[in-house]
Amino acid sequence: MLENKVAIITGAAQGIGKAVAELFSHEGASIALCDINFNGVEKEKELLNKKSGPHRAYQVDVTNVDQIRKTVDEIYTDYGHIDILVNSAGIFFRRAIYDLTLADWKRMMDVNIKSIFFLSQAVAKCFIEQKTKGKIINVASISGEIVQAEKSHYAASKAAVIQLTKCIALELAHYGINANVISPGPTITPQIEPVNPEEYLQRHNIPLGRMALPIDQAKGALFLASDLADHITGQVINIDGGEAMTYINPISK
Amino acid sequence: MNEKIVLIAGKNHEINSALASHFVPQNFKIAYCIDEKDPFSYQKPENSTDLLVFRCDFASEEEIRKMKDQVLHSFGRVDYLVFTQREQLQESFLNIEEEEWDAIYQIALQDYFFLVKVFTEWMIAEKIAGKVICISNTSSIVPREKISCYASAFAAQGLLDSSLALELGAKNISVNSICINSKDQFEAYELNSIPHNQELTTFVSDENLANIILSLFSSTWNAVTGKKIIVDGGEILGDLN
Repeated sequence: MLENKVAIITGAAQGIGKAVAELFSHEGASIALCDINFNGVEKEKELLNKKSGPHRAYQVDVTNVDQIRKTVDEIYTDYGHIDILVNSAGIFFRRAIYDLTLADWKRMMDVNIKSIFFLSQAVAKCFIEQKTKGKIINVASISGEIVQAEKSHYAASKAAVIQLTKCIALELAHYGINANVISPGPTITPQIEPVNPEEYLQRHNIPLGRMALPIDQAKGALFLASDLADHITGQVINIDGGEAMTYINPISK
Repeated sequence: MNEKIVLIAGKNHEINSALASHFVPQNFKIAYCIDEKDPFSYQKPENSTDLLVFRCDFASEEEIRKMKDQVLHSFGRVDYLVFTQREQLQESFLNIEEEEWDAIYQIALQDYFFLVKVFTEWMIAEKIAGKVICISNTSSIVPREKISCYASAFAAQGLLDSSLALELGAKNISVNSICINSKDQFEAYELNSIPHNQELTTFVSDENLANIILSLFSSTWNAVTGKKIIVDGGEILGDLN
């Protein structure tokens, strides 16, 4: 589905980003694996290059805008073109309002939303320069549309991702650039390892009966990156086994 | 509703000034809080002892705490928080610089969060049934071109409000927001979606907004929290349907 495409994937050393990289490479894309954990993406690159390629690893701190711009330039030079951006880098931690420090706040906003803005901006400029269509896929969360305790900072950052993506979609549509969101429900990744899936299911209603796996999210990203979604932009796809619809307090958009 | 203390903060000085001048005759006392980096200079009405201006660096939680102590020293209490952000940035997504992004997100989100955190912490300790009202914008709901930074910050603020409402509800503090449209938004986009109803083709006036906020202060709204009240003359109906 992605032959001859070049995809930049952030947060590619683990979790959803890693699963997206594996699925996209399986579908024929060359992957620029980006993460602050260089050993992690190097290792993943080696594994992927045994089956397809060329895949390359890049160390980037997505909270550093200069690094973002330099890395995107480097990838553009290395491959000659870029077709897909998957903004998968993100962090999650719970904090009650009165325990949340300024450092916590800034870290959450810098990683979860500011990085997406400036990565999307840098890659969109490449799309426009090369005069080709492009796909931007941002990973939000169902927390960006539902209200839960001790997640005020996280929910705010993910709501921002959703609205930002819609604005980007509007602004870039005439260049043939699509921007969409996948909103994962709780997904079994190293980031949420402390959560026991069985205990989670006892406390939450997931109509499809299980927590999501990284591959579930990767499939959603693949759909949006593929030609199948050429006429889809500014949309949010919840990949949560139906959990979001069981909340009585979804934020109506 | 006499002898209540209203803290007004945020960068929308036109609205802030109007609210302050509207609230004082209603027997409210006003703590008007301005970021020390903000060049705005508020001229309070002559002989007014019911309105005091406080300045601090909103980017510092410690400074906000010091300002809280000053407000409490002057007035003894705070009952209501009204936050009005304003740092519109109508610029192509492709051209926005990091400094612009940081300014928007700090003013619309970070300042708001830490002001609410500091003052509601005190309200909870004093068992005050406080009210937080945030003046938001319809761009938090309807995406448009050239407002990606601004709109995403307001969308984040919208969900932050709901989350704050959830966590503070058990402490008897309500959090609601009022989403207004603004005249410069219309001028920038030459919006043609205004319903053809003459009564609704106007913008909310400062006086109208002040009266809505006064209503939210009242006991009529004591059981309402986490609500987004859209006051836009029906403007976004044309976008949403």
